[in-house]
Amino acid sequence: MRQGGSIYRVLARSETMLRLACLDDASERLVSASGDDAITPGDFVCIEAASTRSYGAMGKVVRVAPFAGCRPFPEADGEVARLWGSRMQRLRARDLVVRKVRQFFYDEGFTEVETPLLVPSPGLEVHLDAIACGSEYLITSPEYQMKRLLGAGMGKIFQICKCFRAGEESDRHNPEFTMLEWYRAGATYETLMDDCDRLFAAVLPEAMQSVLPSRRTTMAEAFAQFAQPEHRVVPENEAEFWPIYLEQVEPKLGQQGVDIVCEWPSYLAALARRKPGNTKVAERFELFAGGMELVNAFSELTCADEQRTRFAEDLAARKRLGKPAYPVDERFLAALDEGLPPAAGAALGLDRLVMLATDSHKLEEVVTFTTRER
Amino acid sequence: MYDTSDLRKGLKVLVDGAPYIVVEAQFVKPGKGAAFTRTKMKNLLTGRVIEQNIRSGEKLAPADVEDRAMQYLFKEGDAFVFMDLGNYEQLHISAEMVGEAALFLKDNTELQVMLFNSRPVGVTLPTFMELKVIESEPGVKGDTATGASKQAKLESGATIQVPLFINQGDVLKIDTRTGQYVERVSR
Repeated sequence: MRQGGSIYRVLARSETMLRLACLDDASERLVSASGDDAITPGDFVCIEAASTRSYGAMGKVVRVAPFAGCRPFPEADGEVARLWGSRMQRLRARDLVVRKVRQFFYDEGFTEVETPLLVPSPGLEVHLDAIACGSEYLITSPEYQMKRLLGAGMGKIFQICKCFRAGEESDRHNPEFTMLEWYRAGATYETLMDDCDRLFAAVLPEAMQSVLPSRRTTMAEAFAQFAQPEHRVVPENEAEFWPIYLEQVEPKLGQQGVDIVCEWPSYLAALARRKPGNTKVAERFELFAGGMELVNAFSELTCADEQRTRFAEDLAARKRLGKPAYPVDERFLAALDEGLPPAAGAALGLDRLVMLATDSHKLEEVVTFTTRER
Repeated sequence: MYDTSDLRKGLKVLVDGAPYIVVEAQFVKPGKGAAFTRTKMKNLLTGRVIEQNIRSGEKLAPADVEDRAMQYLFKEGDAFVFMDLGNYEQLHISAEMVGEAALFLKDNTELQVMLFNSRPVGVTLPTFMELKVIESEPGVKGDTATGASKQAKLESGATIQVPLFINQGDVLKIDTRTGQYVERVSR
């Protein structure tokens, strides 16, 4: 009988050798096929005896469970062939990244929280569409609930959770994705920029550390640097902003190292407060790396009245665009009424951080199963 | 109708009444901005490639385009007559529509005819065709002043540049995309 050793799957066999995949860590090894002649690809085996050297291990291969299927194994389009190898290695790398992220926040004295994923009010942001679930919705971000915790006295919190956004599917999007959000009471978004630098330093492999520290520019500087000569000033309204930003500015960000762009125009403030002394810009930043947008962060808006005004504007805009008008989160507004401490919060796309850390080019390489693979 | 989420490489859509094939499609969603799909599309009639951003939620009409295998039969006046290998029906295509492909057409050639709204709009020759030389001056040894090539007229009507060793009656392999000589198949 086998005693506690690793179990392997037989991927292939020749006259003399077996190619085995270790179920512990997805690693592969070649071993001599001496032993049971009946062993076939697909079987689950273990290796008896002392020697377990990678090549030509002399241990005896013993079947623990035969593969009952009569189809060839692994089938070219079968699950094992599709997922084995680099995908499994990346999922292990993902696990290490997530552990390092958690450790970073534990070491900083943060509390990990879990807020509801199923909510009556999914957020009114004009260009985010929620996925309905019964008469309620899946969250597009956990921000309302986390800010209520801030108001209730939890000053340093983080969360790793699934978020859901209808219709977002590409090499960098999946309708269901993993978000990391963290909040610091008493801080502004400058502190969060420093957090990002240190978090990335903790997570990225040695060879990628040279992309740090981040380069920090304001949106005005980014337009002056990257936009064509006739568009070097940030436009006064959203309609003019997007085409220039998306065609001329954003494609240049995060191509070499890590770029942080701060001081967004106030018409794109979302839940950020305006900058004291310059109300034309909001204290919001986005971080770009590997050609991807990875982080969105604010010095949080804590004024209940301004928040109500922005919600009303967002709702009106949603109606204009023919989008569903979600209910306003009154409990969130009530928390603002009772007073939120000055605070800053950041949202980071964790799948994309794993893509960056593992040099992957598609989101599907770093998640177990995408929406198309369920 | 197609949604922007249907936009994939190879999809055929109508843009301003013309059929296009999607060459590239990338979903873009700025954090706080409206989502759109950045596309590159090729006009199937002119070959011109356009770049277009299509907002999420917009609809696109499918283009009724299909490639059908046909065989060239003969020329009749200004038109070329083909037979649809699927249903054996005959089809007349104007010389204008056949365009430069006419220079390499030879009886019984099997090729692809593109139909747009069931009407022929273009023909695609096999990439390589074997054609006989019907006219070519004998090559002059040592004459490299002309880049060591000379002209040869093919049975299909095209005149192309060929190496000096090619003689009348040789069968040549031609790349129909460029109209260039590839190799001699037989003497």
